[in-house]
Amino acid sequence: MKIDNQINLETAEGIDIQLTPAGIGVRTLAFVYDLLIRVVIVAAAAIALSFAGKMGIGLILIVVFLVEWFYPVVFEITKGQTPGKKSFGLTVVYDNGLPVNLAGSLIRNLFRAADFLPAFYLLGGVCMLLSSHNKRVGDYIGGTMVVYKEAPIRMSYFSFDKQQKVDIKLDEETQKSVIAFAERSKTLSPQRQQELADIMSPITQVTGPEAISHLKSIAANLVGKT
Amino acid sequence: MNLDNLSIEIRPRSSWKAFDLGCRMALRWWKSLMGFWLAVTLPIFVIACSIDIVWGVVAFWWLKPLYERGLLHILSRRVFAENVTAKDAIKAWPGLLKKQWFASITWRRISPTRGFDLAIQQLEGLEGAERSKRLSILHRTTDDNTAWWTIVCMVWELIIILGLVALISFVIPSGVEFDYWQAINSDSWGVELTYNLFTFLAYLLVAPFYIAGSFAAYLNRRIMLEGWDIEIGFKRAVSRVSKPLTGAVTSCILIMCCFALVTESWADENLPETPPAQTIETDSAIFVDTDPAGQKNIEFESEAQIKAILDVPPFNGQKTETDYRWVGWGDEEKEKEQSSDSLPDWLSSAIIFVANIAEGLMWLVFGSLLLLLLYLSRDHIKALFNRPASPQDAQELDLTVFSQSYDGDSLPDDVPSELDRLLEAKAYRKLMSLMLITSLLEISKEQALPLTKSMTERECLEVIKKSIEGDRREFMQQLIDTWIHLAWAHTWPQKSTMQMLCEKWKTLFNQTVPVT
Repeated sequence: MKIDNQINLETAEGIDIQLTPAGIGVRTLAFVYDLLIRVVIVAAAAIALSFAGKMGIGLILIVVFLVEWFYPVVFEITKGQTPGKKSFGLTVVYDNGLPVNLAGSLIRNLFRAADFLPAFYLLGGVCMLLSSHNKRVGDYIGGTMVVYKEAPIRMSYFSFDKQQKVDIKLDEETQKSVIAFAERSKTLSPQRQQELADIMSPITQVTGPEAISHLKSIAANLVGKT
Repeated sequence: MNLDNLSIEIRPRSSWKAFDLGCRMALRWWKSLMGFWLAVTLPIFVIACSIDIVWGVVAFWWLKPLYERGLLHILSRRVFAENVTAKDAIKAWPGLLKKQWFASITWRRISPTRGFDLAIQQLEGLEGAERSKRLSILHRTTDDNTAWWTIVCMVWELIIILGLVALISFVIPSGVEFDYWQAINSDSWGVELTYNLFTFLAYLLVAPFYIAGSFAAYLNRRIMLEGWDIEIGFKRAVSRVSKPLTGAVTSCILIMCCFALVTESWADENLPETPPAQTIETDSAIFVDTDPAGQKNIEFESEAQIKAILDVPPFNGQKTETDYRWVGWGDEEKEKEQSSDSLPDWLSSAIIFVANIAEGLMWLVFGSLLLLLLYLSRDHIKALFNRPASPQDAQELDLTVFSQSYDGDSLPDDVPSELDRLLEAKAYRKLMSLMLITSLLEISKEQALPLTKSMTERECLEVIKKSIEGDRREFMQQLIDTWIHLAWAHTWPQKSTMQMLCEKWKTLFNQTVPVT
């Protein structure tokens, strides 16, 4: 089996939903981002409440408690992602891909205390690294995971020289490859484009420099840009 | 470079996804990666530490890019399905060191992108201007997080070291003092060695992931820039088209099978609707399918066909998942058998009998405790349903005792004359008191008055009003009102009012003689 970090979730209708669990690198940075926000909130509260004497100290401790335990919960159940996760395009979901709600979010965040052991989330990091779905302890108990939030597919844009009606039958996988070729041809060098187009010549029956524009025409036909 | 036997799934990814893929790669090939790392770095570490306990580990750290070349060697071969073991890598390692080793451990040592850049240097073998040109192309993207990956890995090295220190503090007995700060600052030989070992462990655990992640990011850039996924897709399309004959043959066979199946089942279903055919014995063709053996054959064949279809994608979705669950020590059954063997029957039945009785008793105790609890908390329960608790200090008023409250002794024999005397003397308080006491006594002779000690004048009046009617009721109302005004508001009543009350009293209560 080939190594891959994308997982397929099969729905009851037999449709595969592709999700990519987010790994240790991006989650570490997202955590640091959230940590900085939390520190700023607590510091602001501490400055504002420092004038209120002993009661102020009590209130500061309450603020610290709330921010430590409920900052992620509130953001995860309302938006599905904390600001840190949002900045790295991550979101929290249940194992079946559904958005997380109070129960899951609360459990995974309460068990952050277990992940923290013995210091600085060492257990959580090791657990995440060894888990096939990049889950830390809290994720295992809450039945949740953190995945990349895929950007919505944009309408493909690519330029092609000649408009020509190409009548050719391709299967689905090949269609995808041809469209990807047309879309990404900007980032490919001309020589590389030629190489790739030449591979397809047994199917398209076109060789030489013509082959590139021919393939792009096919792609344009496929996405309805004739 | 043959893209067909790549052992990773080729897909354009974001840089973070590429690092995650690298972690998967490192996990898959951890034996050869860690085996190589241990075999190469452990001797160097031991030598470095024995020379100088502090600067030795710094030198060990400084030379890290050299050991990392071996990891990259393994990864780059493994990705293309070449089975390189730790032993092969150790043999190849001295050869890998020749290229640009000096640059690696001097000015490129502190480059935050060294893991990524190592691939260009080692695998593509570029030098000087060519190398920097190539690097600028590979780094020219908005999604270049290679430096962040280096920082994250460094952070995790630190976390491993600190985590291990914390772990030690966890297992230190509570009586022993453990000062973190002293432990960090101490320069004793043992502490230094412990830190060095932790550092070694941290590098051992992180380095494979760091290099694999960087290498995956490098591969990802090349996939993006060279369209590897497109190449693979195109090649597959061509190979599908170039083998049309076999495909056609198989599909033809499949279609024929289907048709055969359909016609046979059709004949089978229609059979009962043609009873006349049974009488014509000569027409044997129709009866081919009614042969029970033949029918069985069809069923068998169709089952086999169904099985064959279910065995190929997308229906062969069987997979084996292993998870571990606690099912006990496994010798509980044995213990049970042993215990039943060792006890004679009469004893075990006796034990069961005693146990049953004990259980009954326990339920009894439990039930009575529950009842007791309910009884003790009856007032709370009442309060729960918003009913006022019954007044506990509702002592009945003894009127004979009450009568003695006048003048500290008994009531006068001739009340009306006493009233007149008091009215003349303007002793209104005493007069009122006498009237109140005597009238109450009179009323209580005819009717029981449920008066209590804790009642106020108004409450008394309410009770009295319920018991009597007519003039007496009106009189009592007037009397108590006046009394309240006098006793509590200190309003001295008019003489006429007092005279009127005295007259009324004489008419209403005088016919009887007061108690002695």
